Amino acid sequence: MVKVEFFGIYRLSYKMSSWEVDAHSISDLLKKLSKKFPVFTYKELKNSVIMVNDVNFLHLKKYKTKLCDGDSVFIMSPASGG
Amino acid sequence: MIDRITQSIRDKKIAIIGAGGLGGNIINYVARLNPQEIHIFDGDVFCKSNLNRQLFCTNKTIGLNKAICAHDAIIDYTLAKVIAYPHHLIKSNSYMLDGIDVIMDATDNLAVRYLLQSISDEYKIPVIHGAINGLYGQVAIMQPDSQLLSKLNATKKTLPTGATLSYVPALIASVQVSEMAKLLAGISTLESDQFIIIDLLTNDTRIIKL
Repeated sequence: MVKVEFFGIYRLSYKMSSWEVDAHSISDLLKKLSKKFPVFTYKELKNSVIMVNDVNFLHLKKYKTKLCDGDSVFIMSPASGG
Repeated sequence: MIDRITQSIRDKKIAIIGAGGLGGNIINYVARLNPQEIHIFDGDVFCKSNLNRQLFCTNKTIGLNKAICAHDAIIDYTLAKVIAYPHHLIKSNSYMLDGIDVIMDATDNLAVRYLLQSISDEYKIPVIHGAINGLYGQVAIMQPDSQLLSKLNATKKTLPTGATLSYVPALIASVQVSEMAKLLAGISTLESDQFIIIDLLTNDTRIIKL
């Protein structure tokens, strides 16, 4: 299982700080997340800062980044209001 | 340490872009640090819905320009020379920021933030980025040529900004001014690819490396 930690608007909307899921890639994880909690679509979830084991997924293989059992994923949507 | 911070600000010119939720609080905190000059940009006027969180919005200032109201309020207590620009910052007037020591980002949309990033690169001015959404917010130091905003908002889109409460912009503004003060004093520990995230719902604060 992959441990997913939510921050900001996701934490508020999903009403939980973390979630565990069986996912083999970031893309797979976001699809499962949007299916389980339809408040945000897969497309909307792509507007996120995503860290895999504390490494920005932009430095990895982005949505194709492989996930393994025990991996930790952090997901937040950057704030933009003022 | 306090003396060092106070001294380092005294001869600085600080621009604050936006005089709303974040901006009102930033302007207040910066004014009380007494820099050499404070430049305030905002083309909006106060409306009733701003009363819940925007420091210089009162029943008496509704309908008045935000930059002018901020100017009129702080000249009573700051030693800084205060210049208010009652219009939005756009590419064609961005030359007015040439010579500014630090820019405070108190805008409310990504388009202006990307403009600030290009101004930062062009004039080599650091920008103290801040943004809020609901009960959380973020702060970062955007150094010239760091492209920090592009890294933070890879898709150039964000989820809709939810309603917020008075204390959220106050806290994020406070952290922004703190980072500004430390940067000017040469004691900042925040790296150019890091940003601070603060969630007031769970009191969760972290530094994330982009």
